Amino acid sequence: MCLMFSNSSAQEAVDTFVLQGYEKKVTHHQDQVGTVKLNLPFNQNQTLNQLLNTSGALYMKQYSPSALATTSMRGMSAQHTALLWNGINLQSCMNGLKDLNLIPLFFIENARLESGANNNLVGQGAVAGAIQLNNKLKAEKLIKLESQHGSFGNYQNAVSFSGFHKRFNFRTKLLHRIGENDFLFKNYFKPNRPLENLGNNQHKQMGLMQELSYDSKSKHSFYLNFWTMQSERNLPSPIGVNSTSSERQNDNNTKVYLQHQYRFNPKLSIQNKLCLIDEHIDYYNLNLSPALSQAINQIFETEIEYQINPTLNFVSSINLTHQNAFADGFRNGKTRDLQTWLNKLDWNSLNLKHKISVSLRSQLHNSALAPLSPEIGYELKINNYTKLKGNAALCYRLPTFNDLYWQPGGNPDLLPENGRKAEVTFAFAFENTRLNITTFHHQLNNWIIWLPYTGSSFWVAQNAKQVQSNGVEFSGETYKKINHHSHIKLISRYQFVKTINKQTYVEDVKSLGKQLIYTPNHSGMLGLNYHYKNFQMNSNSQYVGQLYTKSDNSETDVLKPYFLINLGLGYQFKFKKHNGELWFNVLNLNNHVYQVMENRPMPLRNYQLTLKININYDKKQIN
Amino acid sequence: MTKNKSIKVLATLIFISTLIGCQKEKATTVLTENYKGIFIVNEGGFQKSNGSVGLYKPGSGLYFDAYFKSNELPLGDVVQSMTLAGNSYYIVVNNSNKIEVVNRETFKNQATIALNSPRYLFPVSSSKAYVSHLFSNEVSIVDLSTNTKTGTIDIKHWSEHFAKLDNKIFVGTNSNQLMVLNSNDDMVMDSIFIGKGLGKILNLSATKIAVLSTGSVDWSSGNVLENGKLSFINKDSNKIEKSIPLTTGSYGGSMSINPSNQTIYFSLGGTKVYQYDEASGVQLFVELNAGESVYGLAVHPTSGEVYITDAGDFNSNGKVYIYDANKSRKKVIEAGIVPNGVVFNE
Repeated sequence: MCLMFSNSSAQEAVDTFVLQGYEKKVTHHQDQVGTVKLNLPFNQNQTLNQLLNTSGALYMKQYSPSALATTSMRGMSAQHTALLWNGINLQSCMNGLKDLNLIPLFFIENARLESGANNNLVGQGAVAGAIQLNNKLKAEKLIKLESQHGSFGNYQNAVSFSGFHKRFNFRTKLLHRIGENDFLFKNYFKPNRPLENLGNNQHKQMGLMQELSYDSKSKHSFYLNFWTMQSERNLPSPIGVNSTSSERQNDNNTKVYLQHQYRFNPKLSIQNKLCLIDEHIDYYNLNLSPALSQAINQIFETEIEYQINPTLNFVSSINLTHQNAFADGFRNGKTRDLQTWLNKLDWNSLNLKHKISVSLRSQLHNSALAPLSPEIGYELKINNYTKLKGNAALCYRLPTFNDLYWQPGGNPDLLPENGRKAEVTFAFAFENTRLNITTFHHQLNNWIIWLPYTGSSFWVAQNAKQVQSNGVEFSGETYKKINHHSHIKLISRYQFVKTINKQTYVEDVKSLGKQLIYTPNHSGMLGLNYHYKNFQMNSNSQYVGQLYTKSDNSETDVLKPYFLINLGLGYQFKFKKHNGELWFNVLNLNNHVYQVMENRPMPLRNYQLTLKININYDKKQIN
Repeated sequence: MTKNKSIKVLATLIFISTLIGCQKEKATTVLTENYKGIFIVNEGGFQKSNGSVGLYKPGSGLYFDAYFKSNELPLGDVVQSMTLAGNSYYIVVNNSNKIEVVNRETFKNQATIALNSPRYLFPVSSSKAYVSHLFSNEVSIVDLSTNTKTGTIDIKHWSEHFAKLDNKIFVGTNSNQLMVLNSNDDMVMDSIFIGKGLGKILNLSATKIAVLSTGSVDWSSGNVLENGKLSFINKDSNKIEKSIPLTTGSYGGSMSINPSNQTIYFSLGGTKVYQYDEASGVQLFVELNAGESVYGLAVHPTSGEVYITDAGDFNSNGKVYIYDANKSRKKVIEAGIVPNGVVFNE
């Protein structure tokens, strides 16, 4: 049983950074009192998009299984959910987005979703919440081989080679993905609605990650990560478009991350991070000139943590970020410097019944002061089974480079979006059962949207809306050991989200008080995991309620609710000190015809076969 | 729990999940319909395939998606224009790369012409039409009897609207000039520089065409760099014979004409619609309310009522405002997404 929940309980309080064979538990400033954190087991998902889709904890907007995929957490836009990799924000400074279909889970060791008020701690932009991705490098001698073959010509092959020597750990990961994605759909724009194969939907991706760590076993530790990805995708047209443009996009990016930690004494430590992110997005259309863009982010962060006494902990960090971008809309390039200062104080009573966290974040962007964002969190342990948690903050998001500078339409006078958010959670845990009920409130002012410039064919960025999002989230999981050979685990999640326009621009008065498009009121999932000896069965059912596709919430223009069932059967095997697993998954088992975006078909029932083999070449390890 | 019980629980859960996931498609009903009335061409959102042609019935006030109702099929992506030729309407669906040919009486689909990014179809004779294109330097020639493409004319530029003076066909381009084509031999005859920003061209009479140039605007500052103008070209020369400068410039414009009194109505976007006739010159016709804006214009051929389309937020149903000659708003029609034009079939 303890294995089932060990990850979530450990990581609720601390991030674990594993070096040279032993674990150092470091209280990390991203852990915020009062918010809901959700660890996401990867199962057989290939990409972060697939993982989040099956989690049922947020709504994923996707144009096709391998096309652009972005989040909608608590009804807010994709730009309002920060995506952090080892604490570094990966959202593009050009458009504030990151395509989650381009992040293979093979390069990540754990993923965590943190809904709600943590903007202060993970940086600007986390208005709705944050997705945290982390790497862990262990002292092990292991070769991991993964091969997945799916319907519609999808293949993924990956290998990881890790080892250690004295105080050094290293790991190399290589991945290759390719897919045709030419699945059948009913073309209801043509007479007799013929079945056709979706065209121009191929993708190819290659990636390399090299990690290296060194631990002096005294006070210093270092971690280096080099990660490069190259992705080529054709962009399929919606049904009804008979495009001759053969649109395609290449996304290439390279990241270099260096972390140093120095522990002066058990109470005082410093952590330094240095990161360079170079990303290229190149768009090609046979009818137009190529649109090329590049963004370079250089980040330095230093953080000091001091435990004042057993009940009081203080963290102070400074983050310096230099952003530089070139795009078709601003060919001469634009730069932005961000200086961020965060101070955070955590207090807990000696009996751990009360926890309070207060923080204040201030930021300069090109010498202008961003809105101050204070945050407060509180946890009350009512008894051994129940907790009451609360969190409140002011939040903001800076305009992206495209919002500010793209010509035509960019608006250098844009203000940052700013707002408030609060949430209260009732958490219950008894033996093998956990329940969480959260109610939240978000309000964002100066919401940046692109409005049609009067009478013209281009649009202009403006601070034009106020959006309010209120809702309830429920999550529950329970584990039951049936007998010595078998156990069962049930997970369920449900969200009710009402995200409405509280104020709109004058031309959009019809959307006043209406639900934002592509934001379901209801969504949820039901997961079932059954183990019997070496066999496993995973069932994952997702429900997404009706989606409005027009801003006036016209009932004639909606996407129907959909309910999808994925079923996986797995077998785990062991041979001496080596092990592996074989999985057969059926996606959309119920063969449901559905759309996530209007007129964008999604595949019917399809299949995946996955083989994972772990070869342990450590001669010293006892079988 | 015994092993058997656990298997039963498991099977039940999967069964329930499967039942919930099953949904039946709704049946549709077909009604016969009279397709007389006022058609509204709704572009729809780019890459959203939600363009339509709606029919407004002035008597009953009913409005419905005419093409879908008659054919039980959606139209496609970016419905750019609809033109009558013979007894058929030619609905140009720009980003679906096609022209749907429908019967004028029944609106039933008769043919589909596949063309690359078509914009406007213009009949140059009873059997032949020209089609303008985005992303192509050619004007296509279409045989109206077979509804097939029979040839092309290389004009070196992307093309837009047409007008006609006998066998001279004028087509607007993206190069600040009109190209003049000979409809007898399908050759380029001439070109005419008209100034920056093509708004629209149309026939003022059988001997004269009007050209709306929008001018230009600095994209970054929004400042007007060059004011628009209204120009006229007569039958006997391929030159601008008269040009009336406007007091502002814009990125886009629309124009229509009341053929009975040769009054031109035009707009450079925003809230203002102007009118022009030889006697009075340019005058403000009407200014829309705050929050409304002009996207397209049409004038009823007999009543002289002015139809102004408003695309709103480009993401929900737009509107059409009907003004009488006394500048009073008579009616507001709820249209489809991004209404850009009106075609009268009464």
